[in-house]
Amino acid sequence: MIPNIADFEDKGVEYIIKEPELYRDKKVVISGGGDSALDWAIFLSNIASEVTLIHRRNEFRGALDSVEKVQELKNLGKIRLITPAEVKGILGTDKVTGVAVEKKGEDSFIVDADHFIPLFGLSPKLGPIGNWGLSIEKNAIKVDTFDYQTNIPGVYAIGDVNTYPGKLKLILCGFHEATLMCQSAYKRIFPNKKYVMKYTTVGGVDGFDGTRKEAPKAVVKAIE
Amino acid sequence: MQDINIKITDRNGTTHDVVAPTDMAMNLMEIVRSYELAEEGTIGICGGMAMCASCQCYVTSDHKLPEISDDEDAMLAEAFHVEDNSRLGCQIQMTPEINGLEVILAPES
Repeated sequence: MIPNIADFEDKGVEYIIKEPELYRDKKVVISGGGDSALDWAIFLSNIASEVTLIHRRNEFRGALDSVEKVQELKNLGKIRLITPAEVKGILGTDKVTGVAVEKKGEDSFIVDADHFIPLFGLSPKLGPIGNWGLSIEKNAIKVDTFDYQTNIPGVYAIGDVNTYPGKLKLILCGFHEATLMCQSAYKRIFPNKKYVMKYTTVGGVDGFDGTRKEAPKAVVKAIE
Repeated sequence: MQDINIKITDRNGTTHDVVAPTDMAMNLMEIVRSYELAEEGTIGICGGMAMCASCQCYVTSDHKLPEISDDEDAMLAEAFHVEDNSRLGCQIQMTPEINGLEVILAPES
């Protein structure tokens, strides 16, 4: 546990990377031993001025490519690796200026940093959602399978977070629930518009980036 | 193929004597889930690939279990409430050799 970490949230401590440009030419310290820590260390090594990766074990667990890439970047001096070690504290007044690092069995020392990104993995917990007035059962949000609406009209829950008789936590089910939820939400948002379902395999789909994807067209050709 | 008997003490301290098949490629985490001995959402969260430690248990009987794999070891190194007799339930396969196994479910992570 890092005692004062909450004080530095949005002041140099980030738990998720939304905008990589934030780290350009900055000193970044990443903690963690899995795919997230490896991936971001690799990615930021091309953006940040310094990347330090700290893990409490020498062994990392992730995709082979990623582990090998970090080894390579470390050998090239583009990533500083400190293991086995842990970040014990954060330094700075109104923003992060460094982290206190302790290697197993040694005295702690300071690593200069503008950002500290702990990537220790995720564990699914309802957290505050449990106190929003939604019907909760089995650590999940109860929904009506007609359209996956919760007990609060206009609030829907789809995917692993919901529950109903026969619920299976499958990605497939989350996608299916999304389609039914969407058409219900559409009717709620546009009560005077007629809902028309279309198939993207028929009409194609426009990406948010402006590109268009269409299903390959069938051929009409005589066979001699 | 024979069924085996397993004693599982849940997180409320209640010990359950359960029967487990040895011909369905089941692991201890799946046994706990199928008998609903832990709340949905608090066990087997990662599906059984040694990625979450929610199935951690303490082995209290003398049975010799297969050696801990690198994956299991890495996961236990990051888990909470770890003891010397900690193992991940999803890595303990139901085989005739572990008939009579006794475990205690570790506290919720």
